[in-house]
Amino acid sequence: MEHQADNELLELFRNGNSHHAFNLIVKKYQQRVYSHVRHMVIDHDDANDLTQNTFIKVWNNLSTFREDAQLFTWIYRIATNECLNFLKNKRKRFFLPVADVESELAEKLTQEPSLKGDAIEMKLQKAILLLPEKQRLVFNMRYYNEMKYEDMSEVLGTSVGALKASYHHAVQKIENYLTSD
Amino acid sequence: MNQEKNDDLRKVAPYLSSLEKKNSFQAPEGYFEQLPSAIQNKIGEAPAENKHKVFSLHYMKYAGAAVVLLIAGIYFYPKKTQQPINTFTAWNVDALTDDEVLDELNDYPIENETAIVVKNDDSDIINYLIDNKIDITEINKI
Repeated sequence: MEHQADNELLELFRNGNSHHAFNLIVKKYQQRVYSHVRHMVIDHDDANDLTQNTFIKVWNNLSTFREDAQLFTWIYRIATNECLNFLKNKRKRFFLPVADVESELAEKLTQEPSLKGDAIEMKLQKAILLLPEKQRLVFNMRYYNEMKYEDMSEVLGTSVGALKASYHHAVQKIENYLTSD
Repeated sequence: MNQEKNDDLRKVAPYLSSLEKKNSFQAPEGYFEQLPSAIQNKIGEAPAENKHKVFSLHYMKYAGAAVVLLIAGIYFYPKKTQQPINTFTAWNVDALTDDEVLDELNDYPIENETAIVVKNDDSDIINYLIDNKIDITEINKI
């Protein structure tokens, strides 16, 4: 499906039918946002809530959006914050240490129908869950979403050099986990 | 660029790069068809976000801390002794001896009370007598 350019969508939002323009923005970015969020929180229902919250925040703040950032990276940043806050609140609410949230997410992996019967894919997903949270973000954005480091830098507010180093470490850890017995 | 990316990955992680990249977390069937309308419904019913909530918990905790500090400050502030500056007051004058009364009168700053009278010159007095239609001869008789 062909999507309109971001600047055209923003122009339509400002000068035309804002609800229609927003609907087009949701249609353009929903799959990427959902995928990004889902890789972070694993569970579909949680990913659904966070994806909806992300777009509600986009709607609430779109009129103040300045085009010194790309629309796509701005939406990604909102989605990333939603994920990080969700995981932080989960830890606070249940007084769980970091490892317990990650093991809860790992438990959800075992309930994922698409992973059942695929031992290698399951091992890869477990390896990703063992990464520190920020490193996991960087790995997912680069490996699955194939984002440029420059765009990731805009989303995460981290230098390109630091992101490259973080991705490199993440890849090495995953490789070690996958090749160990 | 993708080729370059894959080459980098192959060098660092040959096993990982050999794996087929899968989308393991598929959304349920038809999810993306109904998501835009679900979001539209939510933004339709949600009130506009109030960014300046007066009674938000965030501000209330600072206000609470300020009140506690204020009360503690008032409670622990060193109180001045309530000693009267001048002991020559109506309630204790009967208890004083004549010498003590004289001493107090000497210390009492009565200059302030007399200053207005002393400042008045003759013209003020004459104007006062004219304004109040007082006959000067009447005064002389007193």
